[in-house]
Amino acid sequence: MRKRIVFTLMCFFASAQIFCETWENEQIKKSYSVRERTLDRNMMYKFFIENFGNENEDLVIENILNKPSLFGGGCLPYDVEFKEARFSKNNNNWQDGCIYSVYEIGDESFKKMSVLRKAHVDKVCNAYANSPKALNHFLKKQKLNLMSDKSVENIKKVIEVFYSNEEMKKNLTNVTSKMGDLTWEKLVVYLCKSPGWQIL
Amino acid sequence: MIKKVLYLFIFLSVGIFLYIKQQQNKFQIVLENSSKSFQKFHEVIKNNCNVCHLNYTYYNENDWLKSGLFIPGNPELSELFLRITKKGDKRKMPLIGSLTENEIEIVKKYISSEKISSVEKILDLKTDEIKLIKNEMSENEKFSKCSTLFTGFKNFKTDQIENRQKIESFSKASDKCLELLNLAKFGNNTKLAMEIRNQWHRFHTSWFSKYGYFKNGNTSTYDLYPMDEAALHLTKTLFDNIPYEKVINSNQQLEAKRISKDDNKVQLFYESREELVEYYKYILGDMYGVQKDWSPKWLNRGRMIDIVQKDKFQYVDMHVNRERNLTIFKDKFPIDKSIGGAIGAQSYILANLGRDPGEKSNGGLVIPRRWAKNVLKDFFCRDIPVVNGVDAVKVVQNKSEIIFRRNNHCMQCHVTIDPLAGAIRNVQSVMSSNDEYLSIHLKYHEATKKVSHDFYPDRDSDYYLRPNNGNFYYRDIKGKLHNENFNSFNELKLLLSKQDDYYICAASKYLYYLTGIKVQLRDYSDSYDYLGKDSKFLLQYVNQLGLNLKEHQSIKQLLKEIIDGPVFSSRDIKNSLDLLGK
Repeated sequence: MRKRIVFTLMCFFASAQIFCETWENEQIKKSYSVRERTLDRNMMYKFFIENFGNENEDLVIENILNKPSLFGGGCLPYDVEFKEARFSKNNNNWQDGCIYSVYEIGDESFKKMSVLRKAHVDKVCNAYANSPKALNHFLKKQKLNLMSDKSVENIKKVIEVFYSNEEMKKNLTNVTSKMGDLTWEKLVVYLCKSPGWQIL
Repeated sequence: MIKKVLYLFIFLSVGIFLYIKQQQNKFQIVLENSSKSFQKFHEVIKNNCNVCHLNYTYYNENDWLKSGLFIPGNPELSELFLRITKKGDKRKMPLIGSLTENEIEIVKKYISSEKISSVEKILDLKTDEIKLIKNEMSENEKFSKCSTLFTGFKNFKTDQIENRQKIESFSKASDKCLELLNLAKFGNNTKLAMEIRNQWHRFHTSWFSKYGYFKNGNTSTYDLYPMDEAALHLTKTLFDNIPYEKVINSNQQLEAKRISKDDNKVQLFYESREELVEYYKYILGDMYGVQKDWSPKWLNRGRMIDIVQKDKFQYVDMHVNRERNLTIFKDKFPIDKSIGGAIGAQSYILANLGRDPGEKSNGGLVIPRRWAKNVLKDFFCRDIPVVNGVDAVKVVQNKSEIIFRRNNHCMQCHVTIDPLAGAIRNVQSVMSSNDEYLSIHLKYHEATKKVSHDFYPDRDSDYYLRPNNGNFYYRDIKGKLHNENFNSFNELKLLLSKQDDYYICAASKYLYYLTGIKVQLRDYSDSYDYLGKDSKFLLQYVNQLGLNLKEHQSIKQLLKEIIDGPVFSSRDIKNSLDLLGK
């Protein structure tokens, strides 16, 4: 029995060593890593404000602009003219401020997609879809309104706000235009929550 | 249950046995193609070292060469030989028993052989022609992508531009995006132009990882000289069409010109910002002794409208060297002066100095070697060691009192960073005072002592007063060893700006920003053949981009080449690379 245990342990350590060596060899075989090129916190903030207006701006600040660890993008502390302590909308160019520390100046340009990031974006998307004022602002920019016909052409206009990829636009138009109970709210929240538009 | 587990392990062990057998067969082929002297050498190692150093039995000639365990042509100074002959001060090997005279002779003969020093190869990255499977975006899609990255606005529309005829006349996305950069040149202060410049400046600040000074308490330091001066060099180079070599090889010190609506009265660092303004008075000197009030001029705040050469400096006539047991100095010196170029920016040196205030370089334990390490990381995309073990063995200081200078494994890093740090040997960090709100600055000592060509002194009390000479010891990504001396900081800047890897690293960083593909740079001379086609493709691609940059020196042209290239244009680059790799 003791011999068997010793043999088993030997096998275990040998397999661990081989696993490590194989992993190491795999690393040597690669010269690169791939990360999806996502939008940073400044791009996300500008996207929401530009398309949905200032309604819910505080929510965008709280969930996106104030989350450098999830969205990246860095900051420009010398651009901000401080009148008040910390992050305040009374400061000129406050959007460029560092959130927690000036050391964020060297933050990564972008961060990978994550569950937490998605949760914060979803929260913002829900708020916009539930706000008639924001929704009207969004549709008005596309020369549409809440009563506009859900034609393929109109749906495409909305999709184009989120996606520029031709294949994606075609597929999404096909899928969404066939939805029986489609409303503008549903379409906007569906697109807004799909993470693909945040990847360039 | 135990039985089942045992059966599982027995099953695994059969697999492992087969795997080992396969590795042995593979190595057997390598061995058969090696020289006779290596085969004999391998046999000796296998018979005597196998019990503890199983990995040695799979080392080919190149692995041995890179291990640093021996110096080709010089067995008497080789660690392996010294250990098996039980000479030197290192532990004797093997621990039990010893090699026969005949075996020692075989090892000696192999190490002495001239052939092994020619095993080293230099990679030619231009040879293969590997192409990505095409799944390209349309020019409209490409413009949507590059304009987002350039401006920070998703779905950027050209109707935001006042004079949009020119940009719309271009058919290619790369030309359109380049026109956006031209439009954002300094002097144009429209909202869009400033947004574009800021977007790129943010990226350029991410180029560097270190922004913290000696300790978090030096809050006022951030208001006296720009913490992002190194990034200012990159941003100016991009928007003013300056040759890329000037990022490093420049004598200029830069500062940002800003427009603001109000005077800057609030300190940058947020800790107790308001209290500092209202109640705090800055002092120079010792908070418990000799001191005087100080009213430093703070940096301007607001939108950056230009990056210009700094020509006015603030002087102080009192400073201290440390917090406790301090000495007060009453010589006048400028507190916000740099020594030119991104790597000579005061904020860059201080953030990467790795030395306590007051310390003067002595060539041994105290030198700014962390700065040297980070210059390689930030501008060459390389982590140390950047040479092979055998390169380091040649300069091991067997008689040194400093332990790491006697050890070949430690010297693999120190052989590069120690002589490189000599370039800024004359800098010393000092403080305005020793109170809670001190600021930290660089003091530059003039060279008043004779030059020394000993790059590894144990302790030279005049080291910081000697001319800033040193050595650049570096093996590039193609495996070529650079071993060049420099006699001043400016000579080092020129030397670095002439290296291919300096440009390849820049190409790699811009490629990452635009596509998310990070090409790792290291010495590939040995591992290139083992790389997959996808890796080879990217390595060749980034190498070519870098060499082009070296020739045309234009970041804008580099960006255009990336946008026109296969990686940026691919709809699904990850999938395309995976397919290529298979």
